[in-house]
Amino acid sequence: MKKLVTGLTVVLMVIVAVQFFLAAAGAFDTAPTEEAFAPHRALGNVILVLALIVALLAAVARMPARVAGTAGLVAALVLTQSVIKEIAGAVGDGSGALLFGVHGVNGLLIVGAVGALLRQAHGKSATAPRPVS
Amino acid sequence: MSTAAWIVLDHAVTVAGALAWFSAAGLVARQRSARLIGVMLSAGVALTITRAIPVAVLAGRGWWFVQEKAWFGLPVTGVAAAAAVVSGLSTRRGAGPAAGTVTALSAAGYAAVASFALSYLIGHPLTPVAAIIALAMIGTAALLTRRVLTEAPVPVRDSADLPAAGTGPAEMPRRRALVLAGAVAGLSAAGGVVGLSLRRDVAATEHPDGSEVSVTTLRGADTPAPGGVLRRYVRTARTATVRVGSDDVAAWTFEGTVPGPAIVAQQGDLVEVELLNQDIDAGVTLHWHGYDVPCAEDGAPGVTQDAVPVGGSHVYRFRADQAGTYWYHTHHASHPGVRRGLYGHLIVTPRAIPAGRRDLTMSVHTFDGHVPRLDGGGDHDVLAGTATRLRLINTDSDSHRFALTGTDFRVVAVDGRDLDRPTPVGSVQLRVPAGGRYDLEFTMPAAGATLLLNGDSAARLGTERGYPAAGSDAPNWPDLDLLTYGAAPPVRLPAPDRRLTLVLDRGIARVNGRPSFAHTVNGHAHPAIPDQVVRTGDLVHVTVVNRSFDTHPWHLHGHPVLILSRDGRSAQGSPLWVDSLDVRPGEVWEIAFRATNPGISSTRASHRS
Repeated sequence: MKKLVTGLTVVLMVIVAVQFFLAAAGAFDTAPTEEAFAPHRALGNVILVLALIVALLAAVARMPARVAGTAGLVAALVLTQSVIKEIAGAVGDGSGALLFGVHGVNGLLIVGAVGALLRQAHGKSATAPRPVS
Repeated sequence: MSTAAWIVLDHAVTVAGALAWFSAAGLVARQRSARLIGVMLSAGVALTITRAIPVAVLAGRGWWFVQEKAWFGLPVTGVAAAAAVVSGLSTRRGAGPAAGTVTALSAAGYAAVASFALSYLIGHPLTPVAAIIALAMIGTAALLTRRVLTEAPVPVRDSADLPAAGTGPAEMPRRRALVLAGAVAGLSAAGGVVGLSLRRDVAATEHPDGSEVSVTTLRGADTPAPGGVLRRYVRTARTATVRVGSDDVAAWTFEGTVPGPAIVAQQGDLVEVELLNQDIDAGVTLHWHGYDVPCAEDGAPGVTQDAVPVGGSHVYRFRADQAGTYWYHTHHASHPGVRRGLYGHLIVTPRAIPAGRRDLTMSVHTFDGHVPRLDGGGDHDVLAGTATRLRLINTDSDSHRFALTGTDFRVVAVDGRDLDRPTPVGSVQLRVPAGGRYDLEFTMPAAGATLLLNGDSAARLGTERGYPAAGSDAPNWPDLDLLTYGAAPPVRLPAPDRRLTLVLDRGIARVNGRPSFAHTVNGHAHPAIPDQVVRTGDLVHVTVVNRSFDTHPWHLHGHPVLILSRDGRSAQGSPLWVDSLDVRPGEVWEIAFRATNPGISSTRASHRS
């Protein structure tokens, strides 16, 4: 189970990298905004679900509390991304665009959180495979 | 403070509360100082209680804004907070186990998150299934937290990793926890599936009592009114290249131009339009936006007719009994179709027109990737002193702001229907909603006049070519509020026969079988929005509530609606009959219409990012 969690965190990291690619690709797409960012939005949902699954599995597998906690943090940050998008859209034009910049900063926080998650999950399962009686 | 702002504030307080509870849980888990824990605990409690303020204010604006907060959010977060406080206090006295306290504090956080998620992700209305799922998720999360905590600090006599499936007494609690968590998660998932499928079932069409009438037989008069004539038009839909700014755009057009040639008639004429489709693969129809045509002529594909395929044709016929400014457009794949240029003006003038009057029609349209452009704009020679009528049409699915500098003017008609005793106004902006039309009248001033579109000069009227410079302060002019414009007393309406409430929101709903975060009407996403059935002759009273953060353009086919009130304030000015209106975030509109036009009408809230 812990191997699975560790594997999933690696997958999560890769997907987050792809997500940045999709964001940039969407920004330079000539299609209407909603359509151009469809892959970015879909992958965002995948990241959210994956983070929740990691949190769930980490808890069930009794990995250290921090692993589940960090995975939960990732999920919360991902949810924040869509909230930022909605609020910025509601605010509109000038200040909305400014507010939307937070979406990018929060994206970096997600990278950091996933990195920490990777370290916690990986470090634990590789170097200290739990104290056995 | 606006309703939308209060909604945001409520979300912010809820999320801040969740953060406070999680912080408190983290501090207890790390055995930080009691004072710090106390501060966080107090913050959590304060935020949980404070939330009652936005909820109370929003309840005052309308129950639709707070239903799920009042029934679920406040009670559940309140109970969880109380439990967390009791647990927290007992820990500080050194009595309770830390794991229990951390779990209780986390549970308060989960409750706040669930409350936020219900408001934000599910929206209106709150269903028992959604409430049960949310409770189950809070419980599952708390159980899992407890499970993680009971192991983490000191693994005393852990045998969890023994390969043998040990069934000793020490294993039992863990198993039980696992089974319990699994069962709860399974139940939640099952509940979710059931809930989503229920949403679809409820969406099944209700059928009205009585005999069935094919909508294609609901046609109107086939002779002109006395004094009127038969006016025949042909409109061929075809692709063409049109010039937009400095670019060539591959457009879909009627007769090769955008907008298509205007269809004009005098009141009482019989209008017959033959629609041909030359090469629009997607198919076309003609919809007479805002014009009360018989149902069979309405041009709503799949509802009142089938779309006209390439090589096909369809004849529309209706008597032009109402004078006013309208427009026609395809209603098949209308969103992309209209955007690419399948529209034109429909102008019906009264039989007697004062001589020497100038009548100018200008429509705003936005091609993808281009700035909005005003067709019919530019420079016009108009002699000083000329009675001038300016017909402004918005063909986009976003609203646009117009302003007229150089003269005061009267808004004589909205959506083709005359206003009662309009007064001259100046230094105001006109916010024309998606699909809407405003008619302005003024006497041409000697110094000329300039029409601004979204703050930029778009049309200049005058003779001297010395047009007035666009006022730099015009973009800051206030919007003209039509609810207080004009002088007539409000219409007295009899009691409505039918009341409908449409709550517009965003939430997770099924869209063609797949769950997605979509725009919803009463919890259902297009195309599963239930039909609203009314009887012919019914006076229908509709309350439109916008809980979302998006402006919803709203358009009813076949009937103009009378605006009764906005945000609880009754309409004070001229009776305002419209077919297009923008329902902005947090707004509540009450409108009424008489269902005199039998058949299937569609209410539409279209969107565009």
